[in-house]
Amino acid sequence: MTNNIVTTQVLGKTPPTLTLPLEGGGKGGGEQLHNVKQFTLLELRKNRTTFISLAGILPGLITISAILSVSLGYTASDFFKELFNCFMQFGVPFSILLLGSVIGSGIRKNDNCEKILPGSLLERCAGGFIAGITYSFSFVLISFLIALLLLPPEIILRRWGGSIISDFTFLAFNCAFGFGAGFVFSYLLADALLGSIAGLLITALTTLLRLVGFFPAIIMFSSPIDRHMTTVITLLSLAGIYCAAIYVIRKTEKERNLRIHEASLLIIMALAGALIGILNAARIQKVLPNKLFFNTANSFSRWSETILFPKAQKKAGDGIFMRNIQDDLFWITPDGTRKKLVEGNPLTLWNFITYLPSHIAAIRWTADGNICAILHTKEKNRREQAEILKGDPEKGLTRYAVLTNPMPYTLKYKGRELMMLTSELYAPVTKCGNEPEWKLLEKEDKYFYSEKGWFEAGIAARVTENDFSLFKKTSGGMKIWKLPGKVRGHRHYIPPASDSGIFLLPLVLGKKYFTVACYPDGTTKKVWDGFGLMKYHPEGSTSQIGYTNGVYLNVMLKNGIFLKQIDLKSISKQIPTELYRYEIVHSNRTDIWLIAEGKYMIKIDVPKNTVVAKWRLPDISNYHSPLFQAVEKGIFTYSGSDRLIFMDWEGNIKDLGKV
Amino acid sequence: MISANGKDTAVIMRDIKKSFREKKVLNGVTGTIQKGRVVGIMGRNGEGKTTLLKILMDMLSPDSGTSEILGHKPDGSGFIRQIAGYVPETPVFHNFMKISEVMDLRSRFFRNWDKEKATELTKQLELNPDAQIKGSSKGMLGKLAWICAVAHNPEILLLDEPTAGLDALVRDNVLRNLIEELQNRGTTVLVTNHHMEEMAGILDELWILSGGVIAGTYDMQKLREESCVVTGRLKQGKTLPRIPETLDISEKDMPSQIAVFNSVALKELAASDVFENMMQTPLQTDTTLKLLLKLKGGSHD
Repeated sequence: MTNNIVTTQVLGKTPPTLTLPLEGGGKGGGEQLHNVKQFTLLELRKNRTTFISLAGILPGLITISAILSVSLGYTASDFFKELFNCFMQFGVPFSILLLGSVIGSGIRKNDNCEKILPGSLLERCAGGFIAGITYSFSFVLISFLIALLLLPPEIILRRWGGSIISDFTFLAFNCAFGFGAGFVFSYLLADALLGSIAGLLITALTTLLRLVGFFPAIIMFSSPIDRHMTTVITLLSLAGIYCAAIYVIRKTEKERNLRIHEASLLIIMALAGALIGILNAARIQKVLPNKLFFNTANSFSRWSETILFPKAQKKAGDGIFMRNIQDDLFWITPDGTRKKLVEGNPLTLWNFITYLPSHIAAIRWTADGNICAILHTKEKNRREQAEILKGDPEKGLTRYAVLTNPMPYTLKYKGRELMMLTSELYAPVTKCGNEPEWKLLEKEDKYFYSEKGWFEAGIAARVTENDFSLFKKTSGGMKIWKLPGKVRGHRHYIPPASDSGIFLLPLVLGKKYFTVACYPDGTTKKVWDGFGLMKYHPEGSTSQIGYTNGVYLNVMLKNGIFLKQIDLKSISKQIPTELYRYEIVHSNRTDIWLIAEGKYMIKIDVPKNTVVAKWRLPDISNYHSPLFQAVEKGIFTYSGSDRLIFMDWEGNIKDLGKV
Repeated sequence: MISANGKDTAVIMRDIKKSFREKKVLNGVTGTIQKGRVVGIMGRNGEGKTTLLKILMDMLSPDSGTSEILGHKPDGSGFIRQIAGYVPETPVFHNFMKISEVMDLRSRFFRNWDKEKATELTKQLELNPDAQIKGSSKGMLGKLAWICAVAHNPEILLLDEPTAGLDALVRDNVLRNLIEELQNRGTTVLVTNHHMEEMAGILDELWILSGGVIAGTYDMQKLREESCVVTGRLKQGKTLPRIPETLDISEKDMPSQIAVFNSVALKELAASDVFENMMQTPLQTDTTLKLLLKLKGGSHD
């Protein structure tokens, strides 16, 4: 391009050189960048008050903390910690959303002042956007710095955990989308303030619908589309709002009026993310009730009623309880029979952004092999009530009682009696059909529902203060075992290691480590040498890995029979995985079945110290811990992708995940 | 004067049309302004004067038609605003700024901003640079708009009612500055004004915008020299002839009066021989403009 120079005389002085390009727009990339920089500085200046006002929230929180702490007698630090958490959770995202939206709509607000400047609307928008991002992250930084002055760093770091990238993505989305929405709607509504409000609302809606993608159940659901849906909605939202913004820029920067179909198209583009989010939520709402998600454990631990009551233990070995997203409760047996025990509440779109339709408050086995459940429901007049259901899981549950005041929320055993509890009261379930006999829950009463409770009921034993004796309550008084060594560790209450009432205790005497069995007749016997951690398995056996002259697995079956030591080095060579994490799921006199590293079920011929079979288990989806529940005929495994698999002891698989 | 693009044309408008919703504002504006000329556009309210200037300044796009300023077509980049000066009908600035900050902002955007000139004009127009925009009078904002329009030494000025709302003193100041600008730099000017008579002394051409088109263009020099009022009694049985560029301004029960805007029309009127005793009186420029607007675009508002 060739330029001609025009020299003129201005007010008698030598004027600056005026350079005029001969043709074309005459604006190069450098000038565009210069303009964007100038518009950025202008936007920073324009929105300085908004930024300072928002940044003033944090000192405000400190002041409030100080006032509240003085008036309520707590430390200011405690108050500030709580307020800070709340502020980081909700205040920061909202403030950034507000900043983005205000800056976006401010471009419209100052249209008349800025249109006259020699820059395009696109350059103005770019400047506004950069200013928005700058202020947003300055805001986060300031919040952090102030918090760092007042709170221990570990609290702040804990707040962020390992999710800094996702949190910053979330904040950046709020700023970027808020800016776009504020800009587009201030032009659509021909008013900056209305545009700002509409931008805020639409950004909040889109943000919430994005978050449906983070819904825990979706993660467990774990199909590829669900894993990436949040990203898809985020990208679509941003693409939509910025297409809309560019459309607005092109159509209105020269005051061309938008026609109805153009305005409609703009709204669709601006709401693209939200619309996809709604469709996604509707799809999930339709699909999820058919998926099994939550295992309601059969409570097969050593400290549960299934140990206490043989009938309950036998029944619990017949199937598995699973719930779906609506809190329907199913009893599923190995043959695939799925009995719905409790009808849940329909899943609504609202549930995705508020809370799940949970209403099963508690469920427990009873001594006679039935189950008892508390449901929190609402009457027709919307009054909350607790329904007590009882019944055989194979036949279904019936309503036993309805309680409104007081309303129990959980079930626990006091000794061998099942109690329903409120925060202050408890009463036996068996008598709640009439007038419940409520008693005040004393501070000490909480022990009746735990290890001490089992001790008081004569089930568990207790180590004496000097760690050289074990004693247990009996109907006649107390049974005491003199131990040939000192109990390792500080376990005061010891559950029985088998159905036959044997207690296993790891002891130390001098430099020797060993394990003794305490028999019901009061005798003791050294059963295993070496140091090792005791492990109680859900199927009833107890094991310990011993490290004396090698690595051995010692096992006592649930009927009290001790198996021959298993040489784990030899076993490890026969399987394609490590054996650091294992769980015995089944056993007989010669064989044990164990889950190795959550990946394989292996069958070991104990006398021959040989792996006779190994079966690969289904992969577990991300974010979901593996579920293996041993029952009489095999194991249920839940893969986290709606795959409830039953595998019998011969490795035959049945998919029970489909409705 | 050396032309930047080797041509003498500063502004070209070709069949510019623009509607707002259903209302047609411009319906095919065509015209050319030579460099160094001062052109006034006159028209009633709502005739599209502001719209036309905004289109030329690349602040508004026409529905059809094209325009050029100093060889540059509007492209949305804002470049035309870099090379042309513009005083909007209602000057608006950021409320939170001071007058000096407004000028500072402009200086960062306009590559040829002349700080000395801006300072000089600020003094001349008696503007306080430390005054806040918020609370400033219309007159102050008008002066500031004027400074902002000329401080980057544009070769062309587009002035949209530059004296509207200004008191007499401020108006005189602005007009004096405009005259200086013209004398010193030979700037091309396109100006709209409700009170075009204020500008009449400096105009080279007058355009009448009516019905969305340029209904008439006049050389101001000729208009000043040739406009007149012809008075006389009509001969028995005669009626006034329909002659272009004349306007019957007779009052009831009084001798006939015809405003005539050029010599051709005057000759034609004389040749029509309808008056008993024809008398010719020169027209004042302000009256000429009012009558001209009445002739071409309805009554002056």
